Amino acid sequence: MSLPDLAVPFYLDAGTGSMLVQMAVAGVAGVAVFAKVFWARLTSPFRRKGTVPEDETAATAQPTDD
Amino acid sequence: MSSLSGVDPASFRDPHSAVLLAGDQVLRRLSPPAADDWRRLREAAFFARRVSAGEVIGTEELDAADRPDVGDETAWPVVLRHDRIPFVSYPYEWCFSQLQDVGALHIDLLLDALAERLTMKDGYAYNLQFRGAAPVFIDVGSFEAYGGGPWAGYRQFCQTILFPLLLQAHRNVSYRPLLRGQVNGIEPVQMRALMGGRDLMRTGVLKHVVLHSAVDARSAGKGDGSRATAEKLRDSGYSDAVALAAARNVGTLVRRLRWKPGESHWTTYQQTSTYTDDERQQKTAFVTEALARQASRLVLDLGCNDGTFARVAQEHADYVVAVDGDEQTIDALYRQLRAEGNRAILPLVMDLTDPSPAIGWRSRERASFLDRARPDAVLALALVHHLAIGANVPLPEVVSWLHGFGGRLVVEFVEPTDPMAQRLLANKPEGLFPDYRREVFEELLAARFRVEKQVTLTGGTRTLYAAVPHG
Repeated sequence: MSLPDLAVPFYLDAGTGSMLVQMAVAGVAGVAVFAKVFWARLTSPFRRKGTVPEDETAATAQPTDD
Repeated sequence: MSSLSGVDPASFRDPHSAVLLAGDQVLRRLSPPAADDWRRLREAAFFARRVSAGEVIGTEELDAADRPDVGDETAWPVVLRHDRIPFVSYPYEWCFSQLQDVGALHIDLLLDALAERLTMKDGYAYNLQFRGAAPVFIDVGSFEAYGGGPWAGYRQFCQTILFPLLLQAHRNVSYRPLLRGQVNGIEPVQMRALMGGRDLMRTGVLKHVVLHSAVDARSAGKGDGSRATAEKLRDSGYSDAVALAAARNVGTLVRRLRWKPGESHWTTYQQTSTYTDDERQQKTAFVTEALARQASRLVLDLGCNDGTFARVAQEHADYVVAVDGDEQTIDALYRQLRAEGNRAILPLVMDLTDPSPAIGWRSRERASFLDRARPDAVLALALVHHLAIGANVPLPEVVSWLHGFGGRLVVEFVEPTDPMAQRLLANKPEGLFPDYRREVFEELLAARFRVEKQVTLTGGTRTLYAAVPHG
């Protein structure tokens, strides 16, 4: 992760839905965030299936098995 | 340093910050991460500004030499001392305008914080109290460093402030029974069910209620939890600019809401009441004299109506809590006091025949009204007939209840022949209250109080008593 963790963990459950809906509450300012989150969700199945992560870990894991 | 009576029973939710009561002092101990946040807050320009405006509670950090025993120094490196609130009250005792002002100040502080790279951990109505007609933010432990992402307190803000306001503004349904019944406020799904089809077009409902509850229902029990979601949003560009925009929108909405209840019987009471000017003057003089005998710290005005006598009491007391069951009357009084900048009269809405119970965890988190009310003097003017005739409370019970407050008493007895008593009696079967008589009342009063003075008003149907409780 590029940024540090949130300074102090929430002491209350902020609610996943309540977090997400704030993109709409922010209005125009939230649109870019929404687009990015939505785009990531839309493309994540292809990324997982098509390209790197699983194959890569399998490849790096293999030598130690030998 | 006086000994600690322990952690305040309402202060357990945030493990990093706890309020302790030591004698008459209000202390707060902070964990190492909370101490870091306190240092950031202390340096923030808005903090000093809001404290001096009375909008955030006055707070000082205790030196190591003054440090009281609040637990291990490594676990709690910082101890703060807060100014005391003269009388603690709760959201289910506040009228619409009070809760609205609380919401507006909460968001203003969030905006201030975000502008200086801070945020707030929560969005709780209980984070604020009143000093007279001015809200004050008391949860200094709520401020923390902002690392991006949406507001963790938004859900709580909706549940305890925004939804209650929307419900009363749009549907004219009182939020007070709901807040009193649920210390965590109104859940999004519950709020959605309370909104009818036409309400969907009303201000704020579509986003904060409909969309909120829908997204909430879809994401419940799925995904990585709210913390990972917050991090994901932050990494997708949910920065302080977005957080500021969201907070601004919430603040604008809170300020725009209006409650239009129509006229209540009580709002015009002073104009329609059967008093003559002469009687009103007599009554004012009596109350003044009774209260002037001894200065009071706290006076309780029960059944305060438009606050006429709370204002008289204010002249002879540090603080007056003025209670009435009619929300419109209290709302009008609050707005008047607010316009005057009054910090000595706290108006509250409560049905005196059904006062606030203790609620929350182990029924200790929020104390009952009667446990909080330890006045030096009580005003019960034009009240006894409402309790005894209107609500069928037996007269001995009424007197015993008034005695239970432990303070001096100024009480009015209205004869059954008085036009106002007649109005109440007209709703009850004839002969239901044979004991509702002045002789009976006086006998009951004398058993528990020493009556120092009494006066019958010129109309002949109302008698005032100034009394001191026995032993």
